[in-house]
Amino acid sequence: MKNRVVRCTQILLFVLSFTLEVDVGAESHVSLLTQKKPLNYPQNCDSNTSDCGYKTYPERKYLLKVPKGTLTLGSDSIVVRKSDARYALVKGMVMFNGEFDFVIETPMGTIKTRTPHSDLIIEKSDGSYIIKVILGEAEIDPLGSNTSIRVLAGYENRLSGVNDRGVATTAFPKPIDVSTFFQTWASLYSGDKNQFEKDLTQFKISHSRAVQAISEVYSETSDREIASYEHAMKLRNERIKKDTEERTKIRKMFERRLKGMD
Amino acid sequence: MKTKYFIPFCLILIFGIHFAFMNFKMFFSSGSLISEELVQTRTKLEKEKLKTEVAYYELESLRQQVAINLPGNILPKEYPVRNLASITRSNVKNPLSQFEGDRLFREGKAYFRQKDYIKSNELLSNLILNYRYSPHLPEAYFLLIEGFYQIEDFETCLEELDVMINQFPDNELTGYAMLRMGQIFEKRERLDDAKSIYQSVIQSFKNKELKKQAQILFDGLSL
Repeated sequence: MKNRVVRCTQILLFVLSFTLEVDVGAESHVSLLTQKKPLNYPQNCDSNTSDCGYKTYPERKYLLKVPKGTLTLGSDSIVVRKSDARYALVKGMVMFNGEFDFVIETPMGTIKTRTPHSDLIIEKSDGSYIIKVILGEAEIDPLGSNTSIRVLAGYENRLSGVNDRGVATTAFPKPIDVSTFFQTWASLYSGDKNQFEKDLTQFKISHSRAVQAISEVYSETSDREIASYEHAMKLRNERIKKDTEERTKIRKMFERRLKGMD
Repeated sequence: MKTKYFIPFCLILIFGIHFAFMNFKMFFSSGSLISEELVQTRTKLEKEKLKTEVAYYELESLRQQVAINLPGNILPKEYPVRNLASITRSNVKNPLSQFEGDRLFREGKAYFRQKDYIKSNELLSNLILNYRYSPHLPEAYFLLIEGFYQIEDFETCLEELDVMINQFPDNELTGYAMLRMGQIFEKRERLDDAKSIYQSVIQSFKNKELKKQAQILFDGLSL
């Protein structure tokens, strides 16, 4: 009898445990949770409507399938569809994985993929757009400029507002700052773990190349700086020497005049 | 036998009670309704944010376009530009108001082109009334006057023209609007008034095309 009561109590406790509300709140996810459906503007517009805006909620991402690949919208991000292969980044960040000739529009210019397989992240930050190319190659067309700027894998560049010459400003290309990059990439990544590892290995190669190349550029630049400084010093010394010689010459001339030798 | 069915019976009973309890809780609790409302409000808020951000994006694009089209000799001399900005910016507290003014003007102009003068007049009047610092004001006045002329509301046309002459006396569009004024006087058989208007346009404006038109109208009356 006693055993039966114990047994029943155990079963009762087991069943009642289902009524407890257990909330497990994770501090941060490696990958952002995927939103089922993005917010649209105008109402009920879709991927065939031009000027259709898409928005994600904070801490959510959304995978937008486009004919040329996949456009992943990051947390609290907004894009506007201009055409099948052209989207405007209004807020937040996006990651594009896909073919070449996909254009991301910004008020300061456009960013276009140039290789058959390109992975890039574009982030709007402090009124500028930061372009980080993970795989492949991208091309920036700054507003008001006739020349395009190539961004290779492992590099990042910044596109800012129009300057006093009437051209949108771009920065000097530099290797991607990896301090926060991996977290951003992982949060937007939607493939499996093995694929991520493969992509990471590939990125590591291109990033180390970028670091090496840029260090050579920096070294060359610093060598030039040193050379130009040395040249300037040489010229200065020559000028001082010449001035001294002239002064000596004039002084001697005066001395000769005073002595009545001339 | 009885013991064999006791435990399943207890389990079914407990599950039944639990199921009923949960359903009753859902039915009588207002929490679900509130959370639903919360979700709806949040969605609405996010949609508003989306609209605002898109509007800001368009404004930013416009700013950048204007910046590349500014003549190079103006930009390095920052002082006059800043000086001008300090005069105008204080009155444009919200950049969205300027954007809204631009939108009204664009739409009003589109209706005007479609010859829907009533709608265009409505939008342009709204622009003139609420966005006094819009750069489109002279053109808005001109289109409004033309709109009233086309629908033959000559009284309002003359009233608006009077305001335009006071506010933008040197603008060429005011000259063109004055030609309309002359034509209204002609229709009312006030030929001397019409003549003096045309003469005034010929004397006051430098635009050759405008002067030529005023001269043709003046000559037409003199015949």
